[in-house]
Amino acid sequence: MKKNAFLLASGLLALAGVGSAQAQSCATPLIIPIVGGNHTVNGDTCAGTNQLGTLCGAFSSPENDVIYRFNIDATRTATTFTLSTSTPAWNPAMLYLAGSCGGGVSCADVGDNNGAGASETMPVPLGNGVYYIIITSSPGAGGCGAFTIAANGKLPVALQKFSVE
Amino acid sequence: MKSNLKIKALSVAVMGLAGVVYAGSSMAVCPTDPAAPAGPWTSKATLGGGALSITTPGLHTTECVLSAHFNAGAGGLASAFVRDDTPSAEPRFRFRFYTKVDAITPFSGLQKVQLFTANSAASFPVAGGSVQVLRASLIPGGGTGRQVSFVAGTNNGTDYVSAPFVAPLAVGENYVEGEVVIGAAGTGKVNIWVNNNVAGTPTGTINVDNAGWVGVDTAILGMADSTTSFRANQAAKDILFDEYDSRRQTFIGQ
Repeated sequence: MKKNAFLLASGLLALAGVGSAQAQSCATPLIIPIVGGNHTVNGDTCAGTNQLGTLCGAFSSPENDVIYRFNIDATRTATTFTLSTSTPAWNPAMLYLAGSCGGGVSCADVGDNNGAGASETMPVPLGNGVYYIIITSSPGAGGCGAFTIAANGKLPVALQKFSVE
Repeated sequence: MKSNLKIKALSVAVMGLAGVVYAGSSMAVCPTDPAAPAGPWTSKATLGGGALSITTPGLHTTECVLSAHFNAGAGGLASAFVRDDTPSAEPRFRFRFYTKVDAITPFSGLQKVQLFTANSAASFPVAGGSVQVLRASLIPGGGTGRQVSFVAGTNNGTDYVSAPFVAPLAVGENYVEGEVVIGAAGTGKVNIWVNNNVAGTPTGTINVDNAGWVGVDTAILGMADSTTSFRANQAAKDILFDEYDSRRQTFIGQ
């Protein structure tokens, strides 16, 4: 009998630093890898699709979005997410949802106070559980762009696959 | 489905106390928070520079009113609203609220803020679709310079929203009522009454094919989805909401 295969996200993520934004949705969200001790990932909403036509139950959102899932438990060290963009004309925004993912789900927090080309920050949630972070355009701003979402520390490492054979 | 039943009566802050006079100590009967457990609403959102408070007096002779505004520097996802999750896939949904928007000035150009939305549980279409069966937004125009634009979800195969129906607001208190009927083309519609207490003669009707949204599951009352121009011009200026009521069948009225 083979018993193996805790394939942790940390082991894979260095290889997946530039995420594939196309194959993601609430049902199949992307994972934020750990790179150099912090969880961080690059993406591009131009390469994605619009999965959530409504944000927080209250915002019309026809722009593309990229959806990541992460867990919080006692091993968390990160306290802040920073969203930066290398697309000067694009006004990025981020938000996170607690527990479930969908356009009608209430937002737990948002980061969208700055303009085109500027970075946004948002606290990392403290309560244990499953969260979804959405990267999209500021409502009404349109467009799309390349981004980096970086935590200033570690999110708990996610168990990505487990099997017993 | 139970018909003619009230889904929720939320005098914003004072559920069940509307009309009761507490002379001289009105604030004592107002909850400190509009959302559960202190208040009657399921939840609230004050994110990205949004703010909610309960002040006196209320609208329509009530004691308390929900005051919403965006602070200076608020962002595109600024939220100042309350949420009612009591509805459950309602195929016919009526709502009514009072609002006062006199503080919103100067108001012109591209300024806009959403005041109300009735949502389904799931988006339509599934990928990239909206949950908003109906949304109402404050926009410039009309005799007083302020009017409400109503846009409904409809399966038109393109942008999935109807053409807007726009109704002017009056100075002072305004009464807004709507009826969402879920159904395919020929059945689906939204009736709107604005400062109009005649049940049989809506101020306007939007005919839609909204069968894909199935029903109304959530109502959101307050400020969200604003334009940059609105936030730049209306920082710290309150919009007032009161006397929210929702039902399945019967006209609510003033």
